Amino acid sequence: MPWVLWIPAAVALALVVLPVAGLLTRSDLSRFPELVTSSSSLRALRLSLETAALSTVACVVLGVPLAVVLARSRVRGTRVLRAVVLLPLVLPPVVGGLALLYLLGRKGFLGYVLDAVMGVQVPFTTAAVVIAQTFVAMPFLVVSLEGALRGAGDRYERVASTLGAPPWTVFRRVTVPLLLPALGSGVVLSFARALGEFGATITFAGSLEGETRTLPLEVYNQAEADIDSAVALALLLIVVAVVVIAVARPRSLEGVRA
Amino acid sequence: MTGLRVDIAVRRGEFELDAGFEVPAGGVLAVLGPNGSGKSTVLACLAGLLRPGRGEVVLAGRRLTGDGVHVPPHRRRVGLLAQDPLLFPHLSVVDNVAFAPKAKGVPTRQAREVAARWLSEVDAAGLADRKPAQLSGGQAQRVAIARALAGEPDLLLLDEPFAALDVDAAPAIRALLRRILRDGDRATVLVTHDPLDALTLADTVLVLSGGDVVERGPTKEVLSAPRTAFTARIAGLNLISGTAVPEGLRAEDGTVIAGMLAAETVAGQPAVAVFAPNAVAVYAGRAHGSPRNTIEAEVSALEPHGPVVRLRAGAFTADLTPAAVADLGLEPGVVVRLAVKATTVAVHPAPAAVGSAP
Repeated sequence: MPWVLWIPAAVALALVVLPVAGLLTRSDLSRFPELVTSSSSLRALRLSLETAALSTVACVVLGVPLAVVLARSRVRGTRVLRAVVLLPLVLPPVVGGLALLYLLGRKGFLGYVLDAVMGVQVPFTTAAVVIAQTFVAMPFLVVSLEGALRGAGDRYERVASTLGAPPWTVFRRVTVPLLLPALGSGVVLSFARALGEFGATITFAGSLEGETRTLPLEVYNQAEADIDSAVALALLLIVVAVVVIAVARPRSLEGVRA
Repeated sequence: MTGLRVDIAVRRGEFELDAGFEVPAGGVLAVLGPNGSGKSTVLACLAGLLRPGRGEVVLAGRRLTGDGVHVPPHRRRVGLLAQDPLLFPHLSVVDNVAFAPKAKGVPTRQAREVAARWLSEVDAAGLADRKPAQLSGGQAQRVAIARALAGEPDLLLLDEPFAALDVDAAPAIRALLRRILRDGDRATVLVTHDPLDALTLADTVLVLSGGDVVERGPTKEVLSAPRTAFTARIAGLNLISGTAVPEGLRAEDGTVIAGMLAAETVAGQPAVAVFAPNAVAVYAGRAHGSPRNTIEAEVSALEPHGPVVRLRAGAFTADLTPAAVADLGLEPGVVVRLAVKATTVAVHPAPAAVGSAP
């Protein structure tokens, strides 16, 4: 490794670490417990953890099949689909939120049908928060799984089929277990992304305390009123993120060792 | 009928494969050919991983391919053993072997019993609780054989099963396959580029080149007396049948040929001595005395063979430079002495006799 690489690498590290350090120096740690345990903060934290967990489940239930289809299907146009799946990654979240609003809002195509047929209104509900988070987080899971699937190839699956295993058995007993390490890191990434979601949520779900005001929205809300409180909540988000990575990451790497 | 009947054609861009053959139940067919000759395509069609453009595959009376039928891999009863053992890394050895019975719906406990039986059949019972990552290449291939056989396939496909093994492990696996392939009514197709694999395991050989069958017949005939220059190039070997003895091989006429016994060769058993044409030295005139591994024979033919001239004398072939042919004054009818160093003669177990094809 050429030693010159240390220079940009150090700058990159500083870019990640210094803002967090800046936040720490700015925060008034003596008031931290009081600020963080206020009822609005706790409600936001709880809502964030619940919705992020639900979105992660939705990402796994929908994203695993999507990744398998994208990696294994030989149908034409799969390449185009692969690009479409990446859309939420490159789209500004606010735009994603607007798009969701015009699909599921009262004037939206699907929202109109839902309202007329079932009397259901999605926008500005907790369900909308989960949908917005799933929208932005799913590509993380799909991309990491699809990469793992394509990298591993289908050799094990082919062997399994010559051993008499029908496709569903192959999926359950070979594809999924071999996917576990990638699934672990995909789950961590999408949970973290869902937890930090802001733009799509505020556009599509609004900022109603206890219902749609997740932790990032609460930070934004407090930043206008009480900057100390906002900083304290920001620290809380950082702590949660660090815990998620510290707890889940090593476990996800344990899954399968070749 | 039992056994396997195949007649398939596949087209992939410029490449065209057209192959037809039969393997009786209990028989072993070796498909020989260089890379790109269509061997893998044949296997993929048999395993159901590739649908041929035209033709049919009939196994044990069941039509697997043809007449609009294409049975998917998992319903074919066709096992596959590749170069790479491909054991499922997340399952223990015994669960790898139990995979096929379990896929058929056998409860876990019984499936493990079946697996244990197959593991002891391949001398790997002691490995049952290990993970594939803890096995050597040879051990993994043993387990892969047990796993393929535990599915009780009607047809076993072997795709260069020794290619990925190190030199020490290959003979033991070859010996294991020799022992196991003859059990029961299973047909076996072995794909290889090594004529020795064919010699030790197969009763019949099919030679593929550029997608066409260029030669077929009983293993020893094809390997020792190739009818096409192509087969001669990949498989033109000198073969002498007889019985293995500690110092080499006793030919059917009683002559002892000094040679090196291959690891799986047992003295007293039927065997073949094998040596390449380029290991044979040719001398003009009759012998004085009888040094080891020297045979007198009359030259029957001289054929140009790339940069060398292949000489046929009696049952043997030898490769010579054109200059040597001129120096020795060789021409058909001349009597020569052929000598071969004992270290270049390998003595392999002979393919076991096959039951007659139905």
